[in-house]
Parts: sequence; C-alpha cells; structure tokens
Amino acid sequence: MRILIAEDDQLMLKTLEFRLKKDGHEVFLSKDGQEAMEMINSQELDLVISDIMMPYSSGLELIGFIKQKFNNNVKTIILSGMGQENVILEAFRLGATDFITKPFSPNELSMRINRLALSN
Amino acid sequence: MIWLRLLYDLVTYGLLCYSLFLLTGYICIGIFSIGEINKYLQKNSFTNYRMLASSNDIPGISILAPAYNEGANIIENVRSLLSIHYNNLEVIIINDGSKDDSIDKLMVAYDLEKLDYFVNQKIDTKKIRGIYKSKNSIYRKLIVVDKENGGKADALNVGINVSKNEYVVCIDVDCIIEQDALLKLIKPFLENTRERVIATGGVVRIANGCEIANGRLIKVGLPHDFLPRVQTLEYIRAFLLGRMAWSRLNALMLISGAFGAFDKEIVIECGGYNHKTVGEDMELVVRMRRYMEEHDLPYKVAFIPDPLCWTEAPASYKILGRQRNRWTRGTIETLKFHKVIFLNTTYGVLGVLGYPYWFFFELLAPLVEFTGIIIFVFLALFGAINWPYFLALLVCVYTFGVLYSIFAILMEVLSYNQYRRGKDILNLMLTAFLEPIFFHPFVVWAAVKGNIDYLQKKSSWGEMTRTGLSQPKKT
Amino acid sequence: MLFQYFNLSGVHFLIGITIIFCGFIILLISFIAISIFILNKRELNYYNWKELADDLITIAIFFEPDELDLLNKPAVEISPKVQKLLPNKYFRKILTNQLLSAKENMIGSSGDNLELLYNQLGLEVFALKKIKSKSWHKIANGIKELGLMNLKKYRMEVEPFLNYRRTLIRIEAQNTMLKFNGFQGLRFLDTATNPITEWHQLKLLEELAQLPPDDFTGIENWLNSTNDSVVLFALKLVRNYHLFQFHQQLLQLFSHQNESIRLHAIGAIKEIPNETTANHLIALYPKETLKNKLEILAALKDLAMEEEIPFIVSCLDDDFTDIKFAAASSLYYLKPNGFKYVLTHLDADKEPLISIIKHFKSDIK
Repeated sequence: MRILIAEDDQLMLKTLEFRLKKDGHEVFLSKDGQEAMEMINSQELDLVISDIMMPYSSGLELIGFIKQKFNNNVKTIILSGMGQENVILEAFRLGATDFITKPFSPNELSMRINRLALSN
Repeated sequence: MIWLRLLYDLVTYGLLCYSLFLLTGYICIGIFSIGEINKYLQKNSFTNYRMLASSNDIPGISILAPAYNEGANIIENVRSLLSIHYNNLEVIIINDGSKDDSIDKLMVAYDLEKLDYFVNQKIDTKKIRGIYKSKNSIYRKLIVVDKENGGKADALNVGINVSKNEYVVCIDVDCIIEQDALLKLIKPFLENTRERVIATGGVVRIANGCEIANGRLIKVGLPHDFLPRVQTLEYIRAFLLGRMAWSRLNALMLISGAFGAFDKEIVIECGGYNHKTVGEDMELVVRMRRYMEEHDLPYKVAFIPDPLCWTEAPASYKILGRQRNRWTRGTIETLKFHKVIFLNTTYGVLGVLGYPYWFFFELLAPLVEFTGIIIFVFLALFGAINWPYFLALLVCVYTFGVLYSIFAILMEVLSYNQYRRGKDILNLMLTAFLEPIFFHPFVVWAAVKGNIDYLQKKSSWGEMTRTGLSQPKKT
Repeated sequence: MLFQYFNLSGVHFLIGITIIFCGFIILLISFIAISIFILNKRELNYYNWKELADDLITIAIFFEPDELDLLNKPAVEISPKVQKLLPNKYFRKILTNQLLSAKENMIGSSGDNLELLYNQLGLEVFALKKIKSKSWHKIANGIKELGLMNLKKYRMEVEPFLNYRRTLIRIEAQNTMLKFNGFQGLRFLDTATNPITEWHQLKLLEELAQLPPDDFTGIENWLNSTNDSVVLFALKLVRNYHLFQFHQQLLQLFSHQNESIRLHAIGAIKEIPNETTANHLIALYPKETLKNKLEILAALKDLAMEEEIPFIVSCLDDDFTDIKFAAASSLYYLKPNGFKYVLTHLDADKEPLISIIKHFKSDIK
C-alpha cells in the first residue's frame, strides 16, 4: 500500500516509517497538516495515518477533506493521544476508517493496516 | 532673583528624587521578574500540555475575535484560529459592522448559513444582524456574528453574550496565535483552589520582521525598520520584566486586549466591557479586581510569559502616535473611573502598589518629563543652569535606561531566546542605546498629546452619555 | 556655601552611579554574548544528537530478543558513537527525553523494549541522582522518569515524596505510585488534607485512563471526605467510569453545603441514572442556585420522560431567560411530544420564547 503518515513528532514518524517499510509498504512522510494536504493531492495514496494535533491543520480536518474528495478510496486512520469519546465519535463522523489512541502498540497498528490491505 | 533660585532648587531636587524613585521601582521590577520567570520555566520544563488537550475534563473556551474591516486577511486568520489545539472550543468572529466585504468572504470560504441562533442579552449591546455557522462539519467550532458597528468593547460584549463556554479568550483577529496558546492560558485557572483566577494575560510580541504564511508564524526575526524594532524591545521589557513582576505581586492591572483569558461568570457579573473608554482592556481588569476586592473574594490575575501571540506593530510615526495617544487616554479614563483605589488599603496590593505604579510611572512620568524640559529651557534662558549637574543627571538616567533594556534582552536570551541570530541580538542591543535618544521623546510627546486630547474631548464625552446609552453595571 | 558643596558632591554622586551602571551594562553584555555562544553551540549539536538518539530508539523499539540465547541478557546493539557520547551530560539529556517521550506514546512489546534500552544504558542511576538533588524540578523530573520506565524496585525512594510540601513534587510522586500500584495508589486520598487542584485531578484521571478500569476501592470514603476537592475527584471517577453502585451516595450529596459539589453530583448522577433519578433532581430543584438549576435542567435533557413534562413546562415561566432556554432545550430533546408544550405555551408568541423557539426549529448542532 501507499501510505502517508502525518505526525509532528519526528521520532514517531521515524518509528512508523521503519515499521511500515518493513511490512512492505511504500511510505510517505509529512510533519504538518499543510505538507500532508499537498501530498494527499499529489500522490495517489491508499491510506493516510494522521495525528490530530499538528501544525497548520488538524488531522480531523484532513480526514474530512479526504472523505469529501476521495470518498472511501483513500482509507484513514487517526493515531492520537486525544482519546475522548467526543473526539473519536467526531473522527468517525467525518469519515475515519479507524481510530487508535496513544499510547499504542506499533505491532497492533501494523496488524490493522495489513487487514485493511487485505480487505481492499 | 530668589524665586528663580527656589524654582531651580525645586526642579533640581524634585527631578532627582523622582528619578531615584523611578529607578528604585524599575530595579525592584527587574529583580522580581527574575525569580518569577525562573519559577515558571522550571515548572514548564515538565508540564505536558498535550495532556490537557487529551483530557475529557477541561473547561470550555470561547475565543472572541472582533473584526472591523479585516477583509484582506480574515480567511487566513480564521483558519489559523480554527487550527488551535483545544478540544472544547468555540471560535466566535464578531464582524463589527465592517464596511468591507469581510462577511461575504467568510460566507463563501466557510460555507456559512444564517441561523436563528438564540442569544441571551446579558450585557446590553448594539443590535445583532445575524449569526452564521458552517454547513461543513469540519468547521463546526466556528460561529460568525454580524452586528451593527459599536466599537471593540461592544463587539466583545456581543461575543460574551453569544458564547456558551465558561471561559472567554479575547484576541485581535489579526494576531497570530500559537497553537498551544490556549492550553497554556487555561492552566492557571486549573491550578488554584484557594483563590479564584479571574483572568490570565499572555505576552504579545511584535510580528514585523517575522516570516508568516497562511496565518502562521514560520520563523521569528527582528524587524528591519527602526520603529518596529524599538517596539520589539519595548514589548520584551514590558512583558518579560514588567508584567511578570506584577503578576508575582498579584497586582497586575492590565491584560493586553490582544490576548487574554477571562472567567466569563465574573465578567458578566461586572457588566462586561465598558464601551465608554478607549482603554476597555485595562478598565475591565481593574473593574473585575475591584469587584472581587469589594466582595471580599480571594482572587488572582495570572500571567503567562511564553510568547504565544504575535501582532503587527505600527511602522509609521503617525499611526504609532495615534496608538500611544489612545493608550494614554485609556489609562487616564481607567484611573479616573477607579480613583477610589488610589492608596486605599482596603484594596490590598492593588491600592498600595498597582494603582500608584500606574499613576506615577505610566501616567505621570511623561508629564513630569515634559514639564522638566520646559522649565529647563526656561532656566537656560535665564542662565541659571548648573550645567555639570544637569549633564551628569541626564547621562545617569540615560545609562540606567540602557541598562534596564540590556537586562531585558538578557532575560529574553536566557528564557525564550526567540531571536536566534547573533546579529539580531546585536541589533537589539544597539537599539537599546538609541531608544532613549530617538524614540523615547516621541513617546513622551504622544502621551502629552493624549493628555491634551483627553482634556479637550471631555465635553464631547459628556454629550455621549446623555444620549442614553446603557450604563454598564458599576460595582 | 552649603549649596555649592552639595552641588559638587551631587555631580560626583551621579557620575559615580553612572559608572556603576556602565559597569553593569558591560557585565550584562558579556553575559549575553557568552550565553548566545553556548546556546548556539548546543543547538548545533542538538539536531545531530537527536538524530542519533532517534535512530537508536527506533532500532530498540523493534528489537526482537534472541529467545534461544539463554546465556546472555537480551541487549540492543549500541553504536560506538553513542557509547562515546554517553558520558556527555547534554547528550544524555536529549537521549533520555526522547526515550521518555517514546515511552509515553507506545505500549506492548515496543514499550517493554524501551524499558530494556533504558536499563541497558544505565540511565536509572541518573534518575536517582536527580531525586537526591536540591532543586525541586529535578526531583520531580526524576520521579516521573522512574514511573514512566516502570522501575518498581525504587518504590521506597519515591514514597517519601508522597506528602512532600511542594505540590508539583507531590503530584509526580502520586502519579508514579499510580503507575506502580494501580488503583491502590490513590489511597493517599483517604488522608489528604490539602486541596487537590483541578490540574492535579486531571493528571490523576489521565494516569488512571492507562490502567484497567477495575479494582475501584475507597470511592465510598472519598465521597464522604471532609476535603471538598477529594469529593469532587470521586464524583469525576463515578461519572467517567459509570459507577452505578454509588447512586444512593450521590443523592446524599444533594444536601451538601458546597454548591460546586452539588453541581458535580448532578452532573455525575446523570451518567448513572435509574428510574428515580429524575424525580430526585426535580425535588432538589427549588432549593438550588441558578447555576445548579441550569445543571439540573441539562441533566433532565438526557433523563426526562413524559411524566416530567409538567415540571419542565413550569420552568418556562421562570423569570430568568437562561432557565427558559434550558427548559425549552430539555423539552426539545424529549421526543416526540416535548416540544409541542413549548409551542403551545401561553407566552409562545412573546419574546424571548419566540426567539428560543426559532433557535430550536433551525436545529443548531
């Protein structure tokens, strides 16, 4: 899969890249909402993994945008420390495919992504 | 010639005493601020603000941003406000009867629709023309209020009436706010149990010379032009040293209108912003403090030194002069409304230190300086000047001015170090040497003019009160 | 003569002060220069060292111990470059910070691996050193570090700080105990006499959110605590974890003298309702303050049934517009018939009810 990771924590970005590449995915990285938006428009992606709190625009805005533009052709996973019920509900309302709260297990994330890839 | 001698003595020793008085005051402020900043930075070093963002139990905040003819940048400004990190947030843009196309631009950009939104008029205001919300759920935090023009205070009062949350953050719509700003601003409200925090003020920094794109600050830089650069130094001094020291004493009287958070319940209790003064930001804080003092409720006005809000400073003498003139009038009005506080021990530190500081340092200082110059010229004409003495005094005061500025720069370097390039700091230090000669006289003159304007406009204020505008609740 | 004398010395006095000021200016300027030099040098290193630390941590996160090798303890390979830098205090600080921030974000085997790396690098020695330091923020940081890295063996080192007089240290110590002991770590609330600030409560709740939600003991005592902030915290637990068993006790708090406690009790009972809750709220209503009345009406928005309609309709007659609005709101959400009562109210053609009705008709979210 072609996966974009949007996350402002460099270490997290690196960790996720390492793991997903190992799983055989093609990985794109962006450290803020604006970069992510540009890549969503320019790259043909299958999946976007995004934090919520990022510079420029929030992850929720990103998935709202993706949903409007690509409908279900681009899947989205929110990976965030904001695990409040209302945030999760809103993410799903805006069209998120999945929601994972931090602290999370990278192995679990990898499993979930592989399952998504199979269902495609 | 005995009267000349007398006048001379009076001026000489009067000025000397006054200088010493101010000097001592500033040294105290400097010393006080060191401890306070240090304490704050240490505390900050292990505070995880993100935790607040991910909590279920944080109180709601409404951002109130009045806009008057801001059409040029309003879309980006609103976007940047919407990207602020805070879960329980409402962004209220109040279009104060702009003559430009602000409202149309917002309608298109954010897909707004007019709603029959109910507003309880807790504070009397001008009429609301319409309330708009976005059809797009991504922008569900946004509320746009269109109202008849009534000035900044009135616009903020409308915002207070419309807001649903416990706290309001008042900002200038053209300010650039850091995304973490609200998390930091709300913390003092959560940290105190013994006393109620009624307001938290934030730092305002100068955005001229900074790199800005899409309503976001990309890179901090020192302004090229002299005027904004001096103001950069001025703001560092005022916020990092002045306000920090005052907050330590819990005697802060001014929270900048460009960036501050308030406990809405108390604001409403006090009757909201006073639209009869041009210094509505300071007036509200003083009135809230007075309210708490008079009801014998333990309270605190907190202050956050992090650079969270960036604003464009006036770059021409004309506009700057107008701004300072307005500030002076605002100060006079506020101090006059609340003169009962002056040296009144029932108001605690507010009466003994806070108010007198504003009276002697902020209000009187320019006037004393100006009078001093006039008398000096007068005496010089009569040849009654002891030149060595006057020159020595002048140089001494000048040196102290520079010292104080340099100290502020040092504090900035040690705390936030926003101006990374060595060249910038060098420039800032150079500015410290130039300011007393090239900038300070202008500020004094603007303040004196403010006083003159205040005295002249008095009658016209009187007329306005007679037209039957609602009286804000005086406590 | 005297005047002359004074003048002269006056000048000297001023010149003296000026010289002192000049001295200070020079001193401060050199101080600024030195600071900038150090800061720039650090910044130069910062990015390189952070990169180095991140690389090491990334490898460690996905480290898979060789299960066949039983002789040696599992160990992440550490590059010579890192080995060499390890004694550098500033590098160690960066590495520790990155490790801790990664640990905050990750659980499962990745989290365990981070603990492994932390131990392997021997960083705990420095955490213990921090705890013994004199400056309070270092102590707090050290305690936090032990907690994050799950170093339960140092429980005894942390314990003395549980009742420390400086709040921030106390908070970190208590949170660390929560990490070590689970819910039992909250027992300090049994005897807490100081007010627990809102901020402190948030931190505790955040910490608890990481624990499995069982083993709730002590809440019944905290709900009866004489320390009001402890009661408030217990109410938050009841609400967040939907602890139905405390319904009766919450009802007793309805007669508490602290307005804020009653407010939170109303908010919490809404989350654990039974068929009598609405009635109790209505019985409480006449005795309450304006703020709490509004909270009761907000609770009724979720709880009210047909039987409660007469009461809520009567609130539409209240003088306070806020109450009218809240009552209308409760009726609006009482489907299918509630809102009809607003529409047919005697004052429905008068302000503010006209505007309130319009508000709900436009279905604002």
